[in-house]
Amino acid sequence: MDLTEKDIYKIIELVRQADFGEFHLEMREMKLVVIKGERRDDDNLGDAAFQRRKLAEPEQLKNSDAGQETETINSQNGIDLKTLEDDGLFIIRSPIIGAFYRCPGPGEPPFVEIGDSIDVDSTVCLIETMKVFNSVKAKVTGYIERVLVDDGEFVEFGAPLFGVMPLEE
Amino acid sequence: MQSISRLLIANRGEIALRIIRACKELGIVSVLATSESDRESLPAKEADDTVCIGPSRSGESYLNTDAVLCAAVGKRAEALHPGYGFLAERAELSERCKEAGIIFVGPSPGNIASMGDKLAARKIAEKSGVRIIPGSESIRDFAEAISVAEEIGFPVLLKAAAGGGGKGIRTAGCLEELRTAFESAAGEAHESFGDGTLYIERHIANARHIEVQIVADSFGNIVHLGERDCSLQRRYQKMIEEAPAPQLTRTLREDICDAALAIAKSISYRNAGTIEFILDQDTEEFYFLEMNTRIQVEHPVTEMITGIDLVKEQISIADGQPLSIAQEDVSWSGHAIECRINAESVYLDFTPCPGLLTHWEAPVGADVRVDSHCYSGYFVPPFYDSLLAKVIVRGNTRVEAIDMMKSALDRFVIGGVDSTIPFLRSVMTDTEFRVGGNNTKWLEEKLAGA
Repeated sequence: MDLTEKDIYKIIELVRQADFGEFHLEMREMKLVVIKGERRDDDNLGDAAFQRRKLAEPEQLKNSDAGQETETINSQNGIDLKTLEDDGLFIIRSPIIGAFYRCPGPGEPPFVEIGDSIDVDSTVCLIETMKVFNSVKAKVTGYIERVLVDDGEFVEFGAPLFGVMPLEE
Repeated sequence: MQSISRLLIANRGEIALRIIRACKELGIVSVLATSESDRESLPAKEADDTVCIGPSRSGESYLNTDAVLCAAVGKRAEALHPGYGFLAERAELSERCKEAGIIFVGPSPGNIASMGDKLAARKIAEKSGVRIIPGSESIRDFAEAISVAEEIGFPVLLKAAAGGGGKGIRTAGCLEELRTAFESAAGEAHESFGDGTLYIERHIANARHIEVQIVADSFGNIVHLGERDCSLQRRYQKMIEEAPAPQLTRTLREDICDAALAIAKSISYRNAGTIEFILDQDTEEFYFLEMNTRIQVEHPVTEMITGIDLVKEQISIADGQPLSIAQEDVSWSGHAIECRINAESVYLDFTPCPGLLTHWEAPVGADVRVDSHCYSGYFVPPFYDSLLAKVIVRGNTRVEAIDMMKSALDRFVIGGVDSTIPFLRSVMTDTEFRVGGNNTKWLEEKLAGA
């Protein structure tokens, strides 16, 4: 059975009056698609060409492969953070860009040393952004295992600062 | 002799890429400030170095002056380019760069402040002998808005005094529409600029938006690079721009460009800037609208017909070098058109459609330029504006440029998100557009009728 032009007009009219927005009809040698309101890109070229071409793989850009990406975000000063995280460490990351300071003031002892126990409200360091000093809270309970930045070093937002062995409550 | 060797780009997307590429051509190390969600963006991959300045929200990253400055200082950048939008027209950034000894690639804090205050800018234009649209001072409250609007005569435009970029503007055709317009404009103004103060201007019905690109160095040289026509707008957002402006007489063109120069000279402007005018097509009179003290989105159309690289010129001016060109040497060749491709659904009233680009194939060809940060597999984040790409073409004539644009848009395949390509393509085949000289209402009327 073939569809006549009249049949097609009838189908279009039915779709126009119906609640649904798309109508697909596949027969042995033809396929009819009626879409209401032209939701798709109405350019034949766009749609057909899109179907004809193989979907491109996301382009392989410099450093775009997953392993390298992780490296870029997660390595600093040669430390492989993925290894630390695999070892069960929680990484305290900088909540702000600025200069990292281990001590409350010059000549004073650091907020925390390796081995110190901390809880969620412990201040672990200061980050200074344009002369404004911000305290960084641990937000985790546990022990300081690693200090990942040098005193006075410039850190970006999200930079890893400390490796903490978390304690479960 | 170039002294800037390291520059921080405090922006994202296509303009960040544009600035990075200019740096590469100038042998300058580019450091890109990124938000968390832009860490792996294409500009981030092309920059020589990156620094994450904050979370995705613009307010905590790209609009955070402390974070941006800290990035420049921490990364030892000698200069900072703010791009457009974000902090580009905040005098505070220009001022604080100066204090920190960082070269701001843009005008002085004074230039930004005087033109950023739209009311002060009107006075400056008037003093330079340029006509301004009949309008008011800042409006204290709604009661004052009523008396001012009645004095100026409807229809009126309510505009943000601290505004720009088409935000905080509403029309009121009559008294009945004034309250809604007033509240809506003030609300948007407050949200966009932190200041809900409004002023009122007469609304010119048959208007074209003509703007003039100027560049100025620190030696007092100020040159205009001709005009652009940006009349095709939707809700004050430009969609299609072209250069030169069609159907302008030579005299009118010269008068508008001379007016722009006069205004720029009167404030000893430095670096690149654009002076915008409203041309009343009924009376052929033009009026100062505002000045944008930054590089504009549509700068490529001027570049395509003059052959001048505006971003490199900006960096070079900031570096203390004289302009690369004198006024008498500026020449214009052919006609350029730009279409802004946004991730918006035309069928859903231009609702932004962020998401994964499953397919991206931009057109290429002689005199076809695509400025974009997108690629196949890129996830368009929901946190920022919806601009995906700018397509710019240059033809020998306007009609040729239109046909080239139509062909380029035909070849532009974007899968995964809706884009404004279908609508832009339909404009290229529109008879009225092909004639040219369409006013600022034309595009919205076209959309309403479509």
